[in-house]
Amino acid sequence: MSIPWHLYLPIAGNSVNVLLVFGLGGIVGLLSGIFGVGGGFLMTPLLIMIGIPPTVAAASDSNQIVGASTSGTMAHFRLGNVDIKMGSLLLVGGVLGGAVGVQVIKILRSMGNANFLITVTYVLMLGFIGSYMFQESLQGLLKKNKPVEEKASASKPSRYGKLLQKLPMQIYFEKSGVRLSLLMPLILGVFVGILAAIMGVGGGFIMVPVMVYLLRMPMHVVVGTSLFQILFTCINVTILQSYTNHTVDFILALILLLGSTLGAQFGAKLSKKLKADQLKILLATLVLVVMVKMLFDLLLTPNILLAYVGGH
Amino acid sequence: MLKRSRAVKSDYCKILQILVLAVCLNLAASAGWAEEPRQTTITPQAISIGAFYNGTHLKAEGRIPADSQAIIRITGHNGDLHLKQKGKALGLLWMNLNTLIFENVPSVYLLYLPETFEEMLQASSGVDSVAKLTLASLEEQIQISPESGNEDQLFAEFLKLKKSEGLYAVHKDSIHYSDTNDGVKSFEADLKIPSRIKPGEYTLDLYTVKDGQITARKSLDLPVKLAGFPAMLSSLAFQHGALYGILATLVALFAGLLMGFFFSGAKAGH
Repeated sequence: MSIPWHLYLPIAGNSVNVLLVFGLGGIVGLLSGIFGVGGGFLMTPLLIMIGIPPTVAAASDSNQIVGASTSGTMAHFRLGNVDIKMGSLLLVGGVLGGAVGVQVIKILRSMGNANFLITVTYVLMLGFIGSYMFQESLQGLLKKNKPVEEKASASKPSRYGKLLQKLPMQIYFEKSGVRLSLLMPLILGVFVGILAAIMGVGGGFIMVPVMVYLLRMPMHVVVGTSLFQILFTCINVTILQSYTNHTVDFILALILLLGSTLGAQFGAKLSKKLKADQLKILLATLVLVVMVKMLFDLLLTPNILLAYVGGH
Repeated sequence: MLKRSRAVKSDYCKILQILVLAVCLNLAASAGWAEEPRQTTITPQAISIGAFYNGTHLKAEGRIPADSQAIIRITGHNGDLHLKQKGKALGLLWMNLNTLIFENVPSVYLLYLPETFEEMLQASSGVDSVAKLTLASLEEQIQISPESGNEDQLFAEFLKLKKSEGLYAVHKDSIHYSDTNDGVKSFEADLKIPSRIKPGEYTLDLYTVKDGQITARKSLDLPVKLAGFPAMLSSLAFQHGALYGILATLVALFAGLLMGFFFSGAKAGH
């Protein structure tokens, strides 16, 4: 008697190979644990590739990120890498920005060019963030004789640094070791929330560079805090999608999260062993690979010139 | 008096005979074809989608005239389909552009053919030709709006999309014959059902074909239902969406916490 490796997904309306989905969850969970990104920008296209409808892929992925980021947040919390104060402010800003972003998308749709603008924004954002991080972390790696990058950047009084010090409502974030205006994480949270809503992603891959370069948080605290913020964003999305669109496939999410929670634990341990610049250059490479893949999708003639409404 | 009564009875009998004949002729005409295939059975008679469903196979058996061939078709309900047409934005980037409505589209179209179908197709002509069963024949049934003058290409892309999902398919050489007796032969068909078929009512048509012309048709209902855990989960998701969402979140949180504790314990053990 053979082992039934296929499971039927009642919401997706298709059957999937359990090992394949478990493996995908494991790989994306590993990246999530290492870099503090939710992995939605990787997982959703992979799920669509194995035959899951796009709307179900995106919503079920949010559900699995809840599990993966719980596990990842816990692992990072034990390591002292979660700045709850900063994460909460970013989260509040993100929720507000998300609401604004949904309205922006409505306006863009009514103008008729929403899909084009979304995809171009996606490629430009990925290209800009990836290139900047890659170049910056490469320079850091090449300057081996210098001490840890975070201390080095703190010692340079830039215009941006002076501006940060002039803003009102300054408070000290102990875990991150930075003094900032309370408005900074709130405003940046709104900015990331708007972009995330427009692009239909959790926003982890935008939030991480924002925390590193604009909030000047140490890389290891960035990863844990990003996961903490993603956890709450995805709880919100999972419940809303289940209630309004019925697109969360729990079976799919469960298999994915079994793989991803395992992967996230290994990822968190691996992240501790890597240096900040190594982490950044790896994430930058990943972001650039996704950007190049999206650019090819835009430039090469598709196999089928029709798609279901709601697809990418 | 008695003679008159017998004459009236005889007139009634004649009228009755003519009526019966007319009804029979009418029935034959409305059926369009001469005779239905005999003793057709499908095993199983319904498709149950359980937790381990990954597509399935049905077995069809029956008897048809020895000089004929059998063709089986499974179709779903007709409906409208909204699709996005991909095109080049700014003459460079491929994007989803216009929304097209494909009307009168069968949700599923599966054709099971004997080995000799190509010969049948070459010999076919007229309104009862087997050509009207092919996937290409759907172009006459499906309307695409808004009109663009490019309907042939759009229909070809539509077929590609449906075939990629396995919901439109032509299975060649899936009907086999045996035991020819008294001008009748038995057939057996292996009907592959795709994993993406949705719960609902489907129709299985068995056609008898002679010299490329359809001579008879028999239709059977083929229900597809969710069963067991998928049925329970689907009912919860669609009828109690908020509860389903909260439960899905709680289970994910619990799984994440469990893995966190498990790894924490494993670390402590070292």
